[in-house]
Amino acid sequence: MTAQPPITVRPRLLFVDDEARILVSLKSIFRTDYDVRTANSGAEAIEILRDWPADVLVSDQRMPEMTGVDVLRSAAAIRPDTTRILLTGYSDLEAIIGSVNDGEIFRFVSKPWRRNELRDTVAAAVRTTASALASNDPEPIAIQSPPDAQPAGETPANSDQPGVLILDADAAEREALRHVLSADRPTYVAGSFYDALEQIKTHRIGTVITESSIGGEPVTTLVNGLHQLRPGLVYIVLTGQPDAQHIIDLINYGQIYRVLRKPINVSVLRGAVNLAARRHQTLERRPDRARQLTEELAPLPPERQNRGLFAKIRQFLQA
Amino acid sequence: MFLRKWIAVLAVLASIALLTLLVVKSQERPLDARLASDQLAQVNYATRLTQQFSREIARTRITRDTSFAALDGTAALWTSADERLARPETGLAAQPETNRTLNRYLALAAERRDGLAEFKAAQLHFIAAFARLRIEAEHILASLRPSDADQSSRTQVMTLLDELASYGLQANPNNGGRIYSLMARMNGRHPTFEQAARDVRAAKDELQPIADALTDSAPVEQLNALGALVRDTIAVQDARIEHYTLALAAFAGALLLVFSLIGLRLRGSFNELDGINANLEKLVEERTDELNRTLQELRMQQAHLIQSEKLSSLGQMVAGVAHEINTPLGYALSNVETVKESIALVEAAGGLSEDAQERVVEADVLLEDSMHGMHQIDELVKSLKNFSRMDRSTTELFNLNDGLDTALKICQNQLKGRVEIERDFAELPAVLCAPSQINQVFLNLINNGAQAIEGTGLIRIETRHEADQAVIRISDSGCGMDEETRAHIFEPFFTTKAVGEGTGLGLSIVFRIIEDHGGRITVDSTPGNGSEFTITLPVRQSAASSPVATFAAEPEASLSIGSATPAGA
Ligand SMILES: Nc1ncnc2c1ncn2[C@@H]1O[C@H](COP(=O)(O)OP(=O)(O)OP(=O)(O)O)[C@@H](O)[C@H]1O
Ligand SMILES: [Mg+2]
Repeated sequence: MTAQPPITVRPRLLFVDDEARILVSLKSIFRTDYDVRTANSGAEAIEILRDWPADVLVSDQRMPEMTGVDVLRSAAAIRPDTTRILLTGYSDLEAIIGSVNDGEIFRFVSKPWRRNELRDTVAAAVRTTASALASNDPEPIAIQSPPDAQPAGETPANSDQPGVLILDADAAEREALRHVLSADRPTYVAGSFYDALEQIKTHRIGTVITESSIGGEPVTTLVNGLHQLRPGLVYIVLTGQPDAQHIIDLINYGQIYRVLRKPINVSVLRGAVNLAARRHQTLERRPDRARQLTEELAPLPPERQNRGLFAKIRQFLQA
Repeated sequence: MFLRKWIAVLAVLASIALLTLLVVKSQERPLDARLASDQLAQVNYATRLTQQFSREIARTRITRDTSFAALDGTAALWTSADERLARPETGLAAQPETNRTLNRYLALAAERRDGLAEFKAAQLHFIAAFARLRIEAEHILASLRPSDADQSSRTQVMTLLDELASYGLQANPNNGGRIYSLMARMNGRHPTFEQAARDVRAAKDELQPIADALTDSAPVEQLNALGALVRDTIAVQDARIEHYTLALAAFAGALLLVFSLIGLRLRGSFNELDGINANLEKLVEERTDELNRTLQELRMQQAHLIQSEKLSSLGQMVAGVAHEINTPLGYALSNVETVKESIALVEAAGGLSEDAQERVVEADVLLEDSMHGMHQIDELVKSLKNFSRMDRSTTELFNLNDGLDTALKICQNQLKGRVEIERDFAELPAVLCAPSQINQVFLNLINNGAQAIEGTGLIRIETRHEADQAVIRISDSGCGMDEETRAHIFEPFFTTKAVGEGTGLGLSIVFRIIEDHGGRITVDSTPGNGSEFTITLPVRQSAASSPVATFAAEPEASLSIGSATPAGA
């Protein structure tokens, strides 16, 4: 544990894995360009983080005692500016959802990783941390303010506030959600992607609450496209039958803020919406940071691009 | 029960006996009729002979035949006829009244015939007297002259002769008187003639009662009475037979009625029995159907359970395996890439011996191969993950062609070098379905096809978009199936494969999944000629996903609590 002298200001990377060979391998990739430290367990990683502000934390998920999500959550508490990545061979749904809501994960990477892709991802994570550190306005972290304790209606509903867009194909559900949320801030609804684009175009919207799929079509493409159209938007995804891969995609390509499983607890939803509003405020104040986040999204693979929707979004962007 | 049986038997026996009796009684008629008509014929014959006898008597008196041949012949015939009448075979003696009449007749007839000799004698006597009278008359006539007085004597003699002749034959009321007055007028002039006339008259008077006695109607009357009796007997018998026939008819009718009733009742019972049987059969069938359905359902449920168990354990296994493989694979692949990069750096730095340079080039190739191998492992694990799709049981818009390709990739081992794959994919719209389940369907069908092929063969996979349906045909050049096998393939646990080689669940689950998706699966197969499975899936269907409640708690309640805070703030 020899602390590197800060002669060359190299980004700090912390890798956590119970398999030492993984750590050796990762170190061999990054050691030349980064200040790399490794930990064999979650507890050890938290120890390191306490007095070593890592720029990026890369953790395995399946580990004895402390899982990757636990590590991420603790790390977020200690070092909210450290960008968090999961690097794992397999992860169950709970872990994935936890990594979003508790760990505010930046990226989800599967083993075996492609060396160059991992390099790109880590570089993007480092840039994200840098832009966060450049601001003296630390973001609120969910775990610091439990949803139930979050005072609802902290920001009373007025037209001045950015609104909430509810994207849901089910009209009844849409209206129920609107009913729950409209007391706090302006609320708009949309039943389809195109409706959503129209609403975003005409209203001031800060948070998008969306079903994970609309009419059988995952919203990944839409969210990815919208990031470029409105960099500061914050996304809350609702899902009835969660699909692990789908949520991983929403993380990597859509940088979603929260995933809520149905049936939804109303106070959790309101808490999440309030947090999202605050995050939107932050991003609004820091448009460079918002753009930065959008730039650091993983590029959508060509087969996942919905041509028609992309064209529509592009047309929208130019309008 | 026993008693009733005996009564029934007795009733049947009695009715048979009665029937027999009636038949016999009504059949008596031909015999008796012949006898009766015979009797009648004989009676008639006797009557005719009796009358003949009377006529012969009369004829004999007119012709004054002295030979009596015809009369004797007739009498002889009459005698034999009477003998026949009296014979017991004729049967007239059998009945007391007939017998009495017969005997009366026979006595009368015999009396007549016995009187024949007396008649003959009287006749001969009369003939002789008349002959004498004629001679006397001729004498007188010869002695007379043709004077007027004589003429009257001649007329007197001639008239007397005529009168006497007709008197001799048939005396009429005036005959006798006229003879007496003629004789009184002769007044003794011709005493011999007068004597002869008196003799003739006396002979005639003697003959007449004899002849009368022989020709009276008494025997004929008896015969008539006898005939009447016979006819009466026939009538009585006729009546009796008619009675029997009537009784027979009535009895037969009654029997027929009874039999009809029994038949009707039997038919009724049979019908009832049939009905009961049919009912019973239907009931049994229904129950069997019900049981079969239940059994089928249970099997389905069991299969489903086993399958979900299989799937979830497969999923868990895949999760474990994926993690355990991906971890070493992660650093191995990464390290190889790093080493490759290092080698490239070393090579670029130069200053290597020729031998070292060669080795570096070789190492680069070897590392490239290692990477290739590791990428293959990665692909396989990804396919496995993709196939089990543990967290992907949701319905989504899925490209069926992709599903088929995934399944083919997983089956590759089974197929490689042995089974040729022919893909004929059409552009398909994305189908709303549970991809993990649909993938499983494809995998099962391709596996079965491969298993049906011994040695080398072909599996053809065709997809089509027809109307609003996606059609997938998977055919193989394998062994095919007979009718018997084909009828059972979709049943859980039906397999023709050896123990341990097949669970027989594959197709039942395929069926279940396709059914759940609102689709259809059919099979077309000929033994020795391969099989073709056709799946039809609706392109648009209501999502198979169960709706999930939007809110955990009742939203209104939560909302009112939540909104109370800002109101107060
Ligand atoms: N393509 C085919 N050609 C010939 N016979 C087939 C084919 N597909 C299925 N069968 C027959 O149907 C039976 C049932 O198939 P199914 O897939 O349900 O079970 P299995 O293949 O025997 O066992 P499992 O799939 O559980 O390993 C098979 O045993 C086989 O006799
Ligand atoms: Mg099978």
